[in-house]
Amino acid sequence: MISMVFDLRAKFIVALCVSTMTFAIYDILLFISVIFPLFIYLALQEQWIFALKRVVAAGVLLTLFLILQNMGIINNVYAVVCLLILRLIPLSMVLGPLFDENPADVIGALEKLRFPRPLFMPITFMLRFYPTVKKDFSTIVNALKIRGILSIRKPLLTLEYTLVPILIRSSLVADRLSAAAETRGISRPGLHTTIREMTFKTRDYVLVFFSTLLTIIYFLIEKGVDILW
Amino acid sequence: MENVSFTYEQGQTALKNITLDVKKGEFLVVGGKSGCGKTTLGRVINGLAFGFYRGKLGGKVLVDGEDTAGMALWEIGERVASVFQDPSSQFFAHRVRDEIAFAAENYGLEKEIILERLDRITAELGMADLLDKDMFSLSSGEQQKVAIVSALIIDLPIFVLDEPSANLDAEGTEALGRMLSLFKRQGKTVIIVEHRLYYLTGLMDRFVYMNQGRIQTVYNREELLSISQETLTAMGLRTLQTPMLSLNSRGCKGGQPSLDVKELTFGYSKKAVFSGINFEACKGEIIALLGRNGIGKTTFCKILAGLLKEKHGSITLNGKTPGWKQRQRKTFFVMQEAELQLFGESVSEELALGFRTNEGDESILESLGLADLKELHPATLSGGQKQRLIQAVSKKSDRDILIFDEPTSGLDGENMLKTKVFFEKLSAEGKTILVVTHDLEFVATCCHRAVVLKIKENEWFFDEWDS
Repeated sequence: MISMVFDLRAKFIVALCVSTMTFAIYDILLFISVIFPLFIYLALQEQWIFALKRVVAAGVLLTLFLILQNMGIINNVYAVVCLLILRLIPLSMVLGPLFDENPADVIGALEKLRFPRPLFMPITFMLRFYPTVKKDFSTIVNALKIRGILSIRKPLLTLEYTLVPILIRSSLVADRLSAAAETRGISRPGLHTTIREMTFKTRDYVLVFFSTLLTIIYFLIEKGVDILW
Repeated sequence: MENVSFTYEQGQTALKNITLDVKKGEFLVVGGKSGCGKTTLGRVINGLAFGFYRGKLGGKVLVDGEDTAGMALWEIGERVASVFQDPSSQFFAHRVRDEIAFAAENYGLEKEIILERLDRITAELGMADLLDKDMFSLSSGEQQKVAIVSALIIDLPIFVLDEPSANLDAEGTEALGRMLSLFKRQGKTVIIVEHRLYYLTGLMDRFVYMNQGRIQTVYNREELLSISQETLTAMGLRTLQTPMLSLNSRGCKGGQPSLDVKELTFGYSKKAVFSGINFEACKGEIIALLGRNGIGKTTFCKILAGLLKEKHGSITLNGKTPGWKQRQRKTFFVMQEAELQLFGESVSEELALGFRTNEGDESILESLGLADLKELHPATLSGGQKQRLIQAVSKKSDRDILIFDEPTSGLDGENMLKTKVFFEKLSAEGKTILVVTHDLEFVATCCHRAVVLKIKENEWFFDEWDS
């Protein structure tokens, strides 16, 4: 099995390219075809199962969308929902794996990309929070089951029951986390060192080159399609 | 500290006229009932009280002769190391190695120096095998160790620890005690705010007893040890001796067991979590489930409560064998984080949620000391009150098997006794109570029986506790 490790900065650039496309490429067929190069990109990093799941999901949603599209107003609403989710799939393919990155690496990478600190501190917090929220969510669902108040028939109430405790708990944990971080010098001005290796290798340059090139090509095709119409 | 007072922004006065000198190399323990201001005392020393939580500080706090009032938090952090109660919400990195280096990196230490110290200190403490693990996969005790080592790397002279043992098992607490004795030998100044006292009695130079925001008395070790257990209980303090268990099993007085587990097996895909577990409990029994972190106690309870489906084996409740989802209606499992299990908009609504009647609510709230809080939102309650509210719900559910995961973690002596009284009432009503806990003191005061989940040569079994 091939396993390639890309520099985090290169991965950020790929993510940036895909988010640009998400907003700039309107033609859904053209846009969604980006999942194929993304599949290869993820497969190279041994994440092909994760990628395959999303490719299949995209296929199902696209089919649904094409069927529902011409089937009256109510179905049109569903079609739009399909479209929305479909549009977010490529983004999830590049952002999802970033949640497993080490927050300290992310800080390092963003710092080297000369991202302003106030902008990326929230990002690193989000990365740190993801596993906690996942665990809390399952605790809440369990508690609702035990109490016998988990009901699919009352989706809004269930949503309230899950969201409110998650928010309360998260603000509590966020407070503790940032208090701990403050006492450990996270806000200290000046250069912070890092014990991790960070080198931009040839493969990273290739990755950046291809993703930029692809974005430009997609953009040009999109323009061409517009002219044809 | 000279004449220090502190009032939080919300208007609650936490400290009044505190004057306290801590000498270099001294080991100081701060205790008192919940809400006595001891946590704030720690926060005033590490600056969090005024620098983070905000509020009005009166008087002066001097660290190494310097007034901390004008310092940024990171400047105080260069002098004072802080370790907190909940180890899972104080780490940042995913990998242990990175977490240990986190503070040192922030303070700009050279990479080579960090790596050298990291290797040396972790080797000294026998933690080298942890370095490449994921922080989320560690036990609370290990996470707490990492937090302490991270501070050791930057070589700070003063340590402030806020209930560091609250989430640790007996073994973790002992290891923490050993680590703290190392600090003492190295001449570090230690200020530790704690409910659990037994593991500190050999280390402390002085004990500060706080009450309602003031220092009531300062004892030296001998003076503290001479206080009788009754007086300690009245002061709301926990025991000073390592708890000894002398339990008297009542056995099932005739009749069938209320809970009978046979050959229970569970696992995720290929990996077995446990297999072949047998367990029996009777009506009215209060049983402690012990065992080291990660051995599967909580998973066992989740299966009993019908939150997970067993792979093999049978679970019989009062002679019947319901399906796994039906067990959700026959048992009640109170998990650890109380705030994730409360959904009502007020205390009284919380108790009404999911039930058809309000009958008996008043007396349940009364018995748990929550009657005056009926109108409050559960989120505004203190930790101990939240715990009691969810316990109230478990009582109202009137199910036969009640399971509690760490019901006394972070509770002072007074609140621990309230929990004991509550459990004894349930027991008298014929309920079967299982308590997953690390709190040996609580087990000694309240449980009829204690069993330890163990694994030996790939075989899992419950062993009767043997101290």
